[in-house]
Amino acid sequence: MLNIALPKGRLGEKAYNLLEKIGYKCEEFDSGKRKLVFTDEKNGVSYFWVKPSDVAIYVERGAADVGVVGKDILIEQDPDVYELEDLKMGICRMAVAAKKDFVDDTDKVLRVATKFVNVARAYYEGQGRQIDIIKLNGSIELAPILGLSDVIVDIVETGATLKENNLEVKEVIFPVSARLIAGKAAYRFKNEEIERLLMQVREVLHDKD
Amino acid sequence: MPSSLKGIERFFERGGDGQTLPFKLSALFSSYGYKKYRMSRFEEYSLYAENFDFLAGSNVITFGGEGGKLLALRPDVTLSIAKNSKATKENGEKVYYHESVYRLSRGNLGYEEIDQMGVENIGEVDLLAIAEQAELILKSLALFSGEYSLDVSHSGLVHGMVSQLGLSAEAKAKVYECIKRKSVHAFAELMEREGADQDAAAKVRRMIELSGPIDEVLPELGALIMGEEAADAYVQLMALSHEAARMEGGDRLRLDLSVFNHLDYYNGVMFNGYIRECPKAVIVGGEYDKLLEKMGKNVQALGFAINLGAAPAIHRGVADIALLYDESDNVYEVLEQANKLREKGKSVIVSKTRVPAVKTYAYTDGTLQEVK
Repeated sequence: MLNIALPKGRLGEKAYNLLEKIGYKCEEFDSGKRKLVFTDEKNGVSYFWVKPSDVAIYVERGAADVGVVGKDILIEQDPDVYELEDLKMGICRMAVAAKKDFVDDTDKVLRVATKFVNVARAYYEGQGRQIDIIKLNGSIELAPILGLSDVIVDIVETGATLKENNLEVKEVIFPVSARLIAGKAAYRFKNEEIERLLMQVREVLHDKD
Repeated sequence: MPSSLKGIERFFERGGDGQTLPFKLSALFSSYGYKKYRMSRFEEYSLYAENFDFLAGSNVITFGGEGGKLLALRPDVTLSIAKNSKATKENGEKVYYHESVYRLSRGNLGYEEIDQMGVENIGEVDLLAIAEQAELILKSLALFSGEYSLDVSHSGLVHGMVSQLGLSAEAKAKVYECIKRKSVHAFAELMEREGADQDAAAKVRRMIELSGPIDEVLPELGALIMGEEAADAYVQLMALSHEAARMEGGDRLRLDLSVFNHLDYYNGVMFNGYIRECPKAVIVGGEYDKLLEKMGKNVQALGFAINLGAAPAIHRGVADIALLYDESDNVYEVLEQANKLREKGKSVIVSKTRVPAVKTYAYTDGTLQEVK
């Protein structure tokens, strides 16, 4: 039985569709998300719906054998897991955004609002820039509008939300997409199952290319 | 010995309450002639400050000692043993320890106390020393769990293969990250960006993917080897594989190059031991001559550390059996019934009222009846 942690939301559904296609169908699967665990004995698979930022923790701690998680979360949390494949879905960018008329005063400490504290810290450390991190848990775009921060560090998909709020991308930090991850002990004790899944995922990705 | 006490031995054999593992491991290490090494809980901070790389960035808890000395709660035992070792290549030292170490937990969620045992063999590291270490790790893992695996890698192999890619130090660091994470997709992207030699990149890529029983994987790895450093390491792994084939549990030895423990310090074989019940490696070790060299000692060293906190909870926190009695029962008979069960290695709690237990029996008229 392979235990798979999926992120709640659109990305999780897309990932399930991919896995279903390669034989990991779960009859009772319901994207309504009220039920959290779905098992299909016949196909030897059990899915969990997990908060996207928790997927890596479930896999690292062995509650799930494999999982699907965004690269943004992997870089932010640096979990001790294997990152086996880029699923090329949930594609977006980790970026610095600010008001369109924002001019960076390099003489001042830059105020950065973000959910991704470690990403922001590493990025500006790499530039030797002193920053004041303002950790927020949602509606990050609001911070520069209200003058709470100078810039934000966040994931940007289409840029529509930024545009609506008179913000724009100033710098792209790294591209983001969903990754297939595996736990280190699971990789050893369920090696055949995980390798089989990986091979099938790669075949689908290869066909797409 | 009263027969019910024999049951205690059986209880311990089953894993007891989880406290017996250190005794079994101590007995194992002693049977190989390793001497117990006991040390102070504190150490001068300067030792850790000088060897910060070895601690992989672990934060150290410090406090002021006598005479203004800055002391630290020990974050690592190997450093202290290496510092105090008087071993030479001719007169080696084999020691083991059971100590607490203190580190900042991942995610900065406060300090944690880790119950650790370990083995250090300082002197000369030859094939026998490596094979003995592998054997000790396999036996230690078997004491933890019935399902275990010992993954082996070699810093010379990883380092030697990666150096054939002709990359900058920065790009090399990224390659190591790809190997550690088994990310062939990230590696392929990196090689494309760096314009690395395609043949060399394809070989390293395959090396990242390889994982499995050492005797099955080594032949394929052999065809990928590039350069002298990797070739020397390969020969050492071949020899270890040959010896392991004759060891008890040797079939659990796997080769996986993603196993690495600070490449700055480990310079030879590296081991990570896994058990099914724990998501992370419970045993980590390898050859670390560079640490001794840094301390100005012309010796080699091999060792491993065991995270005892990872021992699976065999004892469930409640007794195996609750034996219910009432005031009308004969005291002697109730105690005798409990002892009979204990002789079978069960833990038994005698109680008048229902208490948590795996199974509950009522003692009625000289017989035991299970209470659901």
